[in-house]
Amino acid sequence: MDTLVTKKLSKHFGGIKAVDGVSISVKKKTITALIGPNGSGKTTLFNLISGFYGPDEGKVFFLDKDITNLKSYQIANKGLVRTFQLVRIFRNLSVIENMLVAPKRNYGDSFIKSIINFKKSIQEEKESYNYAIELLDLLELPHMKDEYAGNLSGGQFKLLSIGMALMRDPEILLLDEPVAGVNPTLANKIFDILINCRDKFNKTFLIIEHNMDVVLDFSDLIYVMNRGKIIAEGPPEAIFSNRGVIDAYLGAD
Amino acid sequence: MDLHPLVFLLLGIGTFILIYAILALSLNLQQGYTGLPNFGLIGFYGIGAYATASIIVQGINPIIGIILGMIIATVFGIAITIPAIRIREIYFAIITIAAVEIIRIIIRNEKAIGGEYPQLGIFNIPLLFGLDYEMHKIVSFLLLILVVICIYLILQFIIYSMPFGRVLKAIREDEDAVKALGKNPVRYKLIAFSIGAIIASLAGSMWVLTQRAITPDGIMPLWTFMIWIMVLLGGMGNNKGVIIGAIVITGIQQIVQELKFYIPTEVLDNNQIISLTWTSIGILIVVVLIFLPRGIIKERKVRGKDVEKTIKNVDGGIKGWIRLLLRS
Ligand SMILES: Nc1ncnc2c1ncn2[C@@H]1O[C@H](COP(=O)(O)OP(=O)(O)O)[C@@H](O)[C@H]1O
Ligand SMILES: [Mg+2]
Repeated sequence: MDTLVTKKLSKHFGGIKAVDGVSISVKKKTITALIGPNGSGKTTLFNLISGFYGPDEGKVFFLDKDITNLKSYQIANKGLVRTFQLVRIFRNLSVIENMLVAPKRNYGDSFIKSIINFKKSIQEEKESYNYAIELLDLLELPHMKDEYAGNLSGGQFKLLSIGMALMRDPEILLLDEPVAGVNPTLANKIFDILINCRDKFNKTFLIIEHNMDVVLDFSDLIYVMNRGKIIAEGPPEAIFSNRGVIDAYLGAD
Repeated sequence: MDLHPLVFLLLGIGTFILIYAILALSLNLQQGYTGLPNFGLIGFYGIGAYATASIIVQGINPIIGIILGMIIATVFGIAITIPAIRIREIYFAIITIAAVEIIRIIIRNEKAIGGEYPQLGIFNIPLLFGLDYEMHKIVSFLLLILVVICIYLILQFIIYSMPFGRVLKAIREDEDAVKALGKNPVRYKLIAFSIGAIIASLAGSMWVLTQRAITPDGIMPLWTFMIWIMVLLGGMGNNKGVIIGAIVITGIQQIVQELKFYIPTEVLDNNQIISLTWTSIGILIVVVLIFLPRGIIKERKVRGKDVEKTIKNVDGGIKGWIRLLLRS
């Protein structure tokens, strides 16, 4: 069973077929990369999978369940969590508060429940807090804990948004260009963290990356998109000797 | 009992300030924390005021009127926000202002709601607890202080001690990011808006109980703008700040109003004095916002330490709970 499967997903904006009959599947406990030149439809595909856009055609299956028509927050609640290419965080809240908005809570998410079970909701909060501190350590952000999230650097934004996604303990994480604009040392570190999550916590990742070189070392499987279509798929070595892929990149950039 | 005239005057001003403080706290929950620009706030106050007044003139217990007002305000709030809550803030603001103007116009013209003479309003609300006039003033003031403290503590608890409150702030910052984290912003917004509506309705009820009359002019859109000014001036997203905003703005207004008894009309007539009020408030807000763009007291930053304290206080028995409630 594959964690995430799309079947012939399509979405067009006016005349542009941003995503055109895309079928992919992401295996459990892998890091799958989605690469392709700018404007090839990667982010749109993420928006379709995560329920931020409704597809014109096609279906999305997550853990064998059809999630095509679910709302974005329902999909996130099932354990499919995505980040945004243009990082979206809560700028006027502290970093620790950003982390603490994220977790799924049995009591604290509902107003009535958390009043009736206030003590339990704070018990949950305690666990979330400890986990948040742990993750901030892992992401090398502990010293920024009390800083306004809006004051972080570009790379730290990305780290925080990954941290927030991890707070939800998702089954699969969709990361949209998690290392774009991040210096290579930090980029390697981010991928090491993801690999760690994959191996230790059995997490699955689908990662958009614009830069081909970066994904070579870290991905188990690569999909290549161009003009809304998947033009190649395979392990990194195969992809990088594929003529069509190289042409797509040279043609677009 | 004989109250000194100055004490009497101050009690009157204090009562005004406290009622506006309730309204500013309500708007601060909706706009300051959740980012819901309610430009119809005064309508919810009107609902509370008219529900309470109508019930009282029927000779029924005012508590029933207060509760009735809260229920109607909540239902009305949900009815106008459900279509508006998914759309952009600017449309939300327009819908709230329009919906509430409709209420005012109905109240102004409908005897069943607006009283025998709807243009004039509902008068002759009896004194509190059958007290004499002066005791009524004192008790009104004390009662309002109690109400403001309770609302303040409840709101601080919701925003700073409940994980729920943090999500409200996050929605204000970025709704899509909240959705991506598995939370349905609409649900949170409806609850925040409803709590705000209930508080505004209570302000209207308190007005009727303490001032003993309500007129349709009391729910003009102008008053909503006044409350916005208090919140902006005092500090959006700070409950102490908006109370200070209410004190400053209402204080200026009431004091300038008093001036008219001391200034001969040849120097400044009544209209000029009213203009003077608005001019001074205008200058004040420009000056304050130039030097303090986030208001007199800016929003409090919640640090890791604050979260740890909440956790510790909840584990700390009765004493911890008291600390939790009063800490804010
Ligand atoms: N919301 C939108 N409205 C209109 N066009 C869009 C929208 N989102 C994306 N597009 C278009 O769809 C195409 C694919 O964009 P995108 O998915 O962002 O590509 P990528 O992430 O691969 O760079 C582009 O031509 C882009 O202009
Ligand atoms: Mg993109």
